Amino acid sequence: MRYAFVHTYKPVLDDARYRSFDTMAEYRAWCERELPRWLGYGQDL
Amino acid sequence: MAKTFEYRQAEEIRDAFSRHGVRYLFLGKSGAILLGYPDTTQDADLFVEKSPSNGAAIVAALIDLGFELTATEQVEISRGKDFVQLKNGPFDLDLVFAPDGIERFEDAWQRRVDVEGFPVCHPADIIASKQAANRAKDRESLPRLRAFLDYWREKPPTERG
Repeated sequence: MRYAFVHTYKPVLDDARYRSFDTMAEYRAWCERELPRWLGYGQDL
Repeated sequence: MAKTFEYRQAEEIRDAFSRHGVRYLFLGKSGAILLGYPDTTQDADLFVEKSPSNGAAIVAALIDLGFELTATEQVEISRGKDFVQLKNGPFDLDLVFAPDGIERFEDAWQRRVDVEGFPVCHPADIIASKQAANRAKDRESLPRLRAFLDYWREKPPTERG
């Protein structure tokens, strides 16, 4: 396999078929508020 | 395990976006991997130019690729919301119209690296966007990405793609 990418389930993040945000700040705030910290999408673990 | 994103699908993006004349760049870890950075990622991040004509072209290309977009979603993408996350197609795709750490699409386009027809953000831009985002996962990646950039810069230009 060339340049392989592997997909594993990410709670919450993978639970919607589509999301959009007017600004990156809104997206970052959503990640902080909604995603499990261990996914690493927030500022701190 | 769910859907996978593979090199073949990167080719599908490249070909569909080319057919529809989309202005875009691979960004994030998917871009770095196309430059030779050894890692894995769960999706592709595309930095897309924000303009009405490019928005319409993106929608057409996504439908061509098999993404199922409602009328509302098509309007949002055409309008160019800053961040759109798609999990309604053959693979996961993030459309980023205004990435952290990169001022203008045109600047990033001028600095881009072409790899087998894939337009990829310069690795310094990939690093700048991760540095600006400063998420925990970015801080994990940055030391090795910076080391990769040093290695990549030492390669002759003909061997960088």
